[in-house]
Amino acid sequence: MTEHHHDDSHYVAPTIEANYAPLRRVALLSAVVGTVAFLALGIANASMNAAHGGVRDLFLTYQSGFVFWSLVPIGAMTLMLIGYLCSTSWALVFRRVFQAAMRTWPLMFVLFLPVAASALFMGHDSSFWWAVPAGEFARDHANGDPVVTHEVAHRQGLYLNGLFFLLRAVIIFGVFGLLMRAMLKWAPAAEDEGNAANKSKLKGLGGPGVLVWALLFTVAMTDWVMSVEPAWSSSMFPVVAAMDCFLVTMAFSALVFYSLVGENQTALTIVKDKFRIDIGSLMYAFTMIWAYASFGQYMLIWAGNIPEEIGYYRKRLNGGWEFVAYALMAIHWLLPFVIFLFREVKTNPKSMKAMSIMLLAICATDVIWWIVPCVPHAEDTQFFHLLMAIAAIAMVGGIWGLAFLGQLRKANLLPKKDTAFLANWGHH
Amino acid sequence: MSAPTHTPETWGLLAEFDTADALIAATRRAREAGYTKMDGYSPYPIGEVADELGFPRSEIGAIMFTGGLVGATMGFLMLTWVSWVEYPLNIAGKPYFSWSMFIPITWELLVLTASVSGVVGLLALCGLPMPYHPLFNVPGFARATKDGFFLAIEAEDPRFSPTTTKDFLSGLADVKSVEEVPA
Amino acid sequence: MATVSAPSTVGEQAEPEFFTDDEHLIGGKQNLVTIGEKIGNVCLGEVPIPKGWWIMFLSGFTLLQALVLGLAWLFYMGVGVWGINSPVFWGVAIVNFVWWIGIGHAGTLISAILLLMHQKWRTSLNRFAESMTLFAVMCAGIFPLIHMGRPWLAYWLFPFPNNMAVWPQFRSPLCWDAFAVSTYFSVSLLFWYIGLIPDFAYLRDHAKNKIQQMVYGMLAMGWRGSAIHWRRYEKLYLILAGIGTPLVFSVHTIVSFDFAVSIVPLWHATIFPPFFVAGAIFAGFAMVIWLAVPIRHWYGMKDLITTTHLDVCAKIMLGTGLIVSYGYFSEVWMAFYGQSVYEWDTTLQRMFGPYGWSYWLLILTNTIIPQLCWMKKFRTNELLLCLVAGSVHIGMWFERYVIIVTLTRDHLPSSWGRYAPTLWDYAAMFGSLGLFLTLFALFMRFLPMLSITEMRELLPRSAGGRDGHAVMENAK
Repeated sequence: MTEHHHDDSHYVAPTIEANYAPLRRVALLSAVVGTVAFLALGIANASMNAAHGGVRDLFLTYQSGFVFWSLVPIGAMTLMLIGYLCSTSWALVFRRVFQAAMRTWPLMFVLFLPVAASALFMGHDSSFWWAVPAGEFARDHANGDPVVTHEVAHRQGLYLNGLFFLLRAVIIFGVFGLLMRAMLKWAPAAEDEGNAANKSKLKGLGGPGVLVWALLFTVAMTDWVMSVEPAWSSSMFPVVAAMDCFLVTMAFSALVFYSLVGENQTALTIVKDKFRIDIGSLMYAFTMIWAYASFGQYMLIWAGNIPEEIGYYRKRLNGGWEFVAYALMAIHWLLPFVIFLFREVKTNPKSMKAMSIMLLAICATDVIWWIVPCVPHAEDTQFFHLLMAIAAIAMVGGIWGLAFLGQLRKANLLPKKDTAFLANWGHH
Repeated sequence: MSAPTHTPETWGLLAEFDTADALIAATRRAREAGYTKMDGYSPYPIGEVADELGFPRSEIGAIMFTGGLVGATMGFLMLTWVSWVEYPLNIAGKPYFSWSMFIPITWELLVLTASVSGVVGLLALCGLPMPYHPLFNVPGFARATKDGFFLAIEAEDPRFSPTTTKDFLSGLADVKSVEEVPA
Repeated sequence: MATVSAPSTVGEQAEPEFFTDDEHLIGGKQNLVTIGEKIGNVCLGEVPIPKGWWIMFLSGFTLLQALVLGLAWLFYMGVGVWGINSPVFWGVAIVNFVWWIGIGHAGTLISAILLLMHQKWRTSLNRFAESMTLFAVMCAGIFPLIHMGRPWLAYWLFPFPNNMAVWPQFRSPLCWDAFAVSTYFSVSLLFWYIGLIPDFAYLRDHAKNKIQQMVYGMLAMGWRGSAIHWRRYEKLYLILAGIGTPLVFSVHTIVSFDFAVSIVPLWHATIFPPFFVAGAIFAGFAMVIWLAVPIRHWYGMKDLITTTHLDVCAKIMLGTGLIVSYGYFSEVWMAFYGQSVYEWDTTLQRMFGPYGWSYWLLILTNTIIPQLCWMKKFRTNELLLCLVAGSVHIGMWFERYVIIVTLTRDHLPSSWGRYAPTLWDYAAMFGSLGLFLTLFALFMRFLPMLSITEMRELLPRSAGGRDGHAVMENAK
């Protein structure tokens, strides 16, 4: 062969000089400001509205913060599994980000504990309507929501009760943890030494891993999100949530990666335009599938108009929350739909960073919109609750982000051997 | 098309090459030599040839975008007008303006009008169908759909001259043959 | 075929080893000329008609007569000749409609989505898969039409000013269906025809007689392979692929709306749109496998449709099958979680009611048997793969059957009933298969089964091709 030929077996990825300090500052700021704001707003709300679920709001808004950030390690795990299964380029570019996100999984369990406490101990102050014993619940709602009959509450109580909820969460955290651990254990030999046995093990894990994810993610989203809404169930919802999960993970990874790489030409020559376009196109696809799934769910429930379902949208399209819904349509679908049509956006790290920030913000808004409106607040307090939820997102994100960055800086941004595929792409 | 005269006019000169790369290089040389009225012919698309010909971007994208936008807008307005104004029906108590239920047909009309305008646009811009073309008079031109790569410089080109252009083409790297194309 | 003799000044260096193909997408020592001959000579009558072709054509043509008879009797007597009656008014005709249109989707998927995803292996399959789409949509379109009872009034579905001063009911998914299916057919036809134009030009230029030259010449519309034309052509092809992809999704989504917009328990499921789409792709790939195997054998196309292609198709079939199975899980899960009395009881009826056998048959054929594709042997052995694909065909038919027999037991026990198709249901059903086989056989004989142009692009540079780097990289 000519000198153009690159032998992958001798390839060693260059060390990428990355400055982690700015990201760390952002995370620290987010943690401090978020915590202060969350506590200040939450305590103010709790003292002003003690009789109207002030404490419950604290748990409810915290829950949106937890759910939003839990999507990143879960998404990292799933996209990594898909990446191994289909040998994709984007899973190579973002490998270190995904791996660092997966290493934060134990912390995520700690961050889950307030949600568990809400389900187990908070009773009437819980973010979960079903944390109240069935008998009391029916009495409380006798003049309220006509949908939540005693029968439904009673029957769901078999599934939706604190201990069983905790057990399911432990299984979800445990099984996802095992999958992550297996990948993190096999990866170094595979990507730094080219160990063929480990590579095939990782590829083999891909298919069954994604299957396990699909089932457990459905359970997780049913428990952590869907169950805040009395009597509501939608089989499309896990699909909507999965798209947000993937989109959040990709946007977060792109933000971190492009921020760290910046103008570093060594890295940008490896992560060629083609790969950057692929990353952008994938994010584009996720926004489109999100819009497709969200629209389908909305249209079908709106058309059906049956009592068990329609309450979900009645709450979310009234009392001020409709503006959030308009924002979702505009920023989660329309803007990316138009902007991502241009290749130049996808190849330019700066514009991709801007797009990632926008998408992270709107996905966070989406998660808030799923969870917080489940209890009808007085109309003039909705904005206050939105602020609380945003503060919760900042708080959880800051705390989690610090741990994430601590993991990320441990290794070179590009895997030692596997990067050969990116570096040598297009050469013959 | 051809003038009412019996003296055979020349439509242009046709050079054949063996490889796509040779055709790309030849097109570049011809452009550098100042020729403008020319075209490359190949059995499969070679984007670089179009680049060298100075046709970096086609009009199809804009045509389809416009077609789709017009179709979708008209479609949505039609659905709204029929359901709200012209023939309002109470269906399951739904509002006359049920925008979410208009989306499916709007989308289908977008795709349909965009596709049809793209295809019509392609045919119109390329002047197809065109059953007769002077190039078909050259027997070897059948290879343009097989394994031949051709560059034709047309007589309309201001720099065209039957002799010097022929010499120029014959001097190109990897040229297999140069033939005159009767009008 | 010319070899690269002098060092070229443009582009990348040709590879010194000839005819290497790491991805095993083109076998043998093919080049620009042999590709054209291999594919084109079948159309030009240079290849003796294989025995298998006659079997396919004649059996298809025979079955087609059943369709003709079935429809004639139906139009004469009315839809009463079918087994539909209260409470099941959507019978086998709707099952067949959804089954066929689902099969069609893999054609567009292979052509459009895989093009966007730079999947080079699609090149060998896209042409016959697109043809499969067209013919399957034709078969599908028959059923809602004849199901109307008065099919000659079908045009009432479309909006046009008329002297009755009525307009369609645009909030009905059945009306959306008319738009979706007709758009899908039209756009697929355009996409297919645009892809065929350069191949027609090849056939025109290498025709063996006057008739061929005239017919293919007219179809080619004077295509001469101009670089300017190619540029527009590629852009059109790319954008058609770009909008064809969401089109596939939308069509089967709208088909799923036919069921899901209602409030019938287990029909009104928000998962239906993606679940139906996945099912369509699942069924379509099973049909692609069924069609690829005879083409490989009868026409010696093993160099062009390689074992790698079968392997990939099997993997996609497995993957989409798992998504469909997730749909089954999701239905049961949400019925259990939601604890709506109607949803849960209908789920129990579906599993253990009088038609419970069809549900378990569905699980067996669609969820359990396709798992065999985890084993490489089942993905690469033609016979075993065809058997698995056959199981998928049965499964996907029963999937829709299970949905329609849900109607036998609704909220009100006094209105429960049974449903059984009649001979005339089956006449239309198997007759449509005859139509499909007949059309496909004619396609194999008279049109290029594989895209000559795109196969040439896929050839290595050393064999005159472009390594498959064309449409995506150069469409501007």
